[in-house]
Amino acid sequence: MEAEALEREIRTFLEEKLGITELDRNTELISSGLVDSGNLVRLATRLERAAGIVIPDRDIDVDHFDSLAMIVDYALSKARPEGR
Amino acid sequence: MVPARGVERLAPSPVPGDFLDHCTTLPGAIEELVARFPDYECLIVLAGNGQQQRTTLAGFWQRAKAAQTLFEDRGLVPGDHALLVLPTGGDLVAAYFGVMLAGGVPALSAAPSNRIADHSVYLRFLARVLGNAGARFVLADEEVTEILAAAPGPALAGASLLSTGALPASGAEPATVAADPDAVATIQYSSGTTGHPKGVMLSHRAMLNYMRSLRDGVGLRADDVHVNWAPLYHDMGLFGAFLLPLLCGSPTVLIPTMDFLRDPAVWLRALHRYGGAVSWASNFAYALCAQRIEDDEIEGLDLSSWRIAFNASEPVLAPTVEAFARRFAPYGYRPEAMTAAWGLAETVMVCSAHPVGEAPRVDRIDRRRLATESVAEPTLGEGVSLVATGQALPNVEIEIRGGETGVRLPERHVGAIWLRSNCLFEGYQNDPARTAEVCVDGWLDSGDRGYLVGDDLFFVAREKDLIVVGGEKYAPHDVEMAINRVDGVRQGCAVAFGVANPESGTEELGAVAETRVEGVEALTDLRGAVRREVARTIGLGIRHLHLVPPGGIDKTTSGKLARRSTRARYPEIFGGEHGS
Repeated sequence: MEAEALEREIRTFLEEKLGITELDRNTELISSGLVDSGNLVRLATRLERAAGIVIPDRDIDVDHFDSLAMIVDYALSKARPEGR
Repeated sequence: MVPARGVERLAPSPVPGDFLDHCTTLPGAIEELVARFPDYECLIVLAGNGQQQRTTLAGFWQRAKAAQTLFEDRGLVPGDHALLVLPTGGDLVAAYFGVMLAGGVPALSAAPSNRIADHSVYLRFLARVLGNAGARFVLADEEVTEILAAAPGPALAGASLLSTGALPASGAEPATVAADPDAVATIQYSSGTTGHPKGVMLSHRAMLNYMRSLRDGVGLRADDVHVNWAPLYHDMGLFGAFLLPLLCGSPTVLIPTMDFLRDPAVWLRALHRYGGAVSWASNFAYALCAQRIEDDEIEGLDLSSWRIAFNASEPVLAPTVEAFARRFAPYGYRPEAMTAAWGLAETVMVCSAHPVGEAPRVDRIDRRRLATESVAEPTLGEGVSLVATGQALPNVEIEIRGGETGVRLPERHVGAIWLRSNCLFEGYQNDPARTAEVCVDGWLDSGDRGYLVGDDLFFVAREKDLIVVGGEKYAPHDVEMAINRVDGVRQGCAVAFGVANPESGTEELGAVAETRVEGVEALTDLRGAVRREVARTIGLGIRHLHLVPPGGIDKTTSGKLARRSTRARYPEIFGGEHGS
């Protein structure tokens, strides 16, 4: 999936399922407390399906998921063979 | 992708239903089981992708003995404590018995499952647990080993760090060290990753008494297949998911907790696949399943084998029980399977359970009389709906006490829940003062409030201001400390509490903090700073944060924070204490 389409899908998920509005690409999701641990796991599962990647448990953290931009970068790095 | 809907019938249990009756220690029980039924395949670890690892008792024994060898080689001597910090899986269950077979005492603690709290926060927690446990060894997986290895020396409090990578697959079979039935068999640290750690010490005798009591009280059969994902550092996981089925001779399917949280349908698919009969979960998990699982994830499932769906370890909410029944009835789920239960780690696990096979009992009571007089008066109008958490198990006595002198209260009067049983804990590790606070004349103060109707116990509230989110406990004090660290908050003027959300089936974090800051923009910044600090150190998002001018928080006459009355001042933000 392309970066833009992926970003759209994750943004829609954050807005519709988690009720996070006024979201820009760099809004802090985790360190702001907007996304808690339960919803973070949910977000990761959604990202796995949307991007067709496998996310190890230990990557589901603030270093990879704290903003829309980070999430998309992470997914793309996992999707590219050289990113593995 | 969603796995096929095949079923796998497990071999019938060869273990007699009364096997546990003559056992006096855990190592003795497992050794006899292995000797008599070595080929019985009763342990299944199931990953989220549907891959399973099935183990016979002999195979399990081999791994436990290998773990024993590792600990003995590294110098463990009888009486030593070893802290296990591992996710659900073969390593954890083998190491748990491995330590015991060497004469050691296994202690269990949470892995950093809470992904948000940063590593330094987790390390401080683990250091406190280690200090309290006086553990000589820590066995952890690669992730935790790395966190610990990167930390400065004192984090380990002098304990030796072992990685699961060092566990041999098999090897010598050292002799089992005989255990004393009255000695401490296990120490449990079941609180969340915050708070002053509380190590609950349990003897072999208490644990075995407990398992017999629960087996007889709810009528467990050796052929019941148990399917669980509750973490094993939690009392519900250690006993419900692992020890109880294992020592009763029932097959047990263990799903790593993270796999369930990622894809809750894994649980229901496993119940279908193995003909599961018994599961343990807290209320939030039932709400999560009812809300999140889509039809295509569970197409073709048959849940009619599910006899007992225990609902324990956080308040059982009537809307959740109803929503779950409605959602899964088309898949053969029977509403009477929902078995509300209540208990605490200090009595091993649950000590009351609703009669199995009977529909949940809901009591609708008058909100005003509950709040003003602590009386649970039935009402037909708008009221508070509470789900009965069952009747005392065999060998458990429950009393409701109140007033200054702690007299026994009559039916439908709300008071402190006290209990007595033959499976009480031996006390808190290294904390006799705390033990003495709750143990009086052979009775235990549960710290919860409730009332009785006939033999049915109804849980009303926790006497101690704990916050329970998704089955994990958090101390309000820790949240308040985090808020106090933020510039702009009046020092010592923040209170935190749980706010029940019937939709998610669990509590959310609420807080009120005083500030002299004024102006929309400055208040927005402060709000953001408070949320960030709490998320970083506690791992929870504050869903309801109310900033108020000085004087907005209640204190008692002795200057202590009054969490409940502060909360009650802002019903428009936090709703009523017993839901809306």
